[in-house]
Amino acid sequence: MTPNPILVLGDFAGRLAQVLAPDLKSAYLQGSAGLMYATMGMMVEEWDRSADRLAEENAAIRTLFDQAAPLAPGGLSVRLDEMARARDGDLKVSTLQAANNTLRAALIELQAWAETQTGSAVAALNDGIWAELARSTERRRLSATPF
Amino acid sequence: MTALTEDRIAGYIATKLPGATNVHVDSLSQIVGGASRETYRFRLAYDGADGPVKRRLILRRDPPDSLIDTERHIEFAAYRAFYGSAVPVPEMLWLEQDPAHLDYPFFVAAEISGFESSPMALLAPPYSDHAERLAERKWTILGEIARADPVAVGLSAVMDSPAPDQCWRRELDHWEAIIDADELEPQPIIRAAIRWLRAHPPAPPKSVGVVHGDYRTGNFLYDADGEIHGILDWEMAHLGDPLEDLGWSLNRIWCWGADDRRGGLVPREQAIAIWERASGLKANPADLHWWELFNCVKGQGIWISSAKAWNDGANREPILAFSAWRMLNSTDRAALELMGRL
Repeated sequence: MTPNPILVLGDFAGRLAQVLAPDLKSAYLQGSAGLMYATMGMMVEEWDRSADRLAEENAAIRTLFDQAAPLAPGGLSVRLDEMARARDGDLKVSTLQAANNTLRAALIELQAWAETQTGSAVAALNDGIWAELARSTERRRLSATPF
Repeated sequence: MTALTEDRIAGYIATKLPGATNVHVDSLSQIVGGASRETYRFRLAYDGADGPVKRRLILRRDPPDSLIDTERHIEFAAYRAFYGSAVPVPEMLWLEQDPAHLDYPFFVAAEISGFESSPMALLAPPYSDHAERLAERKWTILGEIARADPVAVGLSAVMDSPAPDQCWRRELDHWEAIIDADELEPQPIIRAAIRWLRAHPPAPPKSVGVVHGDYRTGNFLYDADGEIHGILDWEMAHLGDPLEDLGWSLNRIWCWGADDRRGGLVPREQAIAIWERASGLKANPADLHWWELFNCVKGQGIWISSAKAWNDGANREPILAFSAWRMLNSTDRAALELMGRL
């Protein structure tokens, strides 16, 4: 797409805040325009990276599931193995997000199980899950967020 | 639903002031950012028994859907309980539960005007020059709330009072249920936090106290000399463990991105020391840690609910989408830090 969608969105957001908002008739509408500007600023940041971060995260979780499948009990082991071998159908954000939701739901189940186990292999797995969760917040981090 | 107008508000207030004549409302304007209630300011004028009266007032009305679902009579009662005390709050005037008057329940209060509330303003001069003074006032007032007797201030009559050893469970059950109902995508970090919290409950408080429920930088009115003139946003007030409020006030998300000074004001330990001195209570480190982590669960409950309300179209106020995008990941990071995993 040309012009570049990020430039278009950023420019429109700036015009909303700096050109249009001052002419709005109430402080409430001006404030709402300011919130829309700030929200669109976050969209600008997310637009370019979202498919990449989702694909990276889905792959990272599948790697964890590949490591976990031999350790997990029966039914969970089978599902983890299936999910570890699956691949994203395409690179649309909606497709990647749907897969991400499925994978992160299973990750919750896996970690809840791992927390009840003893042994170094499962402890290493749990540490790997925590490390991936920390990385996931770095992938999602926005410059305007408070922490 | 018809528009909220100055005439409709004046008509309602006239019924509350039977001796008044020429009841008039003007300068009605909505305040942006009211995420749990629609908030309006207006000027009231009337002729009373002692002559003309003019007042600046606030009207808080329930929205169709909200970032925080709460009972307005609880909020009204909490404000009223502390009016005239060491905890500065605006005067409450009328509570109206009947939606026939202005389409939704609402209450009217006096406006405390002329002061700042923005967290971002607080981080810059001239306000930042008085960060220590503001911190002293902020956590001293929170200590005053913590030491208040719920019976003496009349709140035990309108709020459920949990047994001390059930404070943690009631709050965690409440917010976990909200996350269960409203989450639009899995939340592995906050689910791990919930499991940890259930496995490591805190000691019960010595006595059940008043919990403001949203005590943070951004919810009080301050001036350039470091004084606080009003504690606002009591919509999540309840009875419980006073450490809940302290934990919320210390959350990293309320540092507003500046550094790790709590509330953008002072280091964590300094804030705790002020609160302990004012409340007469001790903040046991392990118990406070539990409540700090719990408040990450609570925060996610709020942002998840706001995302759901916006996504479903129940409330399309920009603040709901903005808050969810801005806060969800930060709250996850705060939880990770508290669990030693960041």
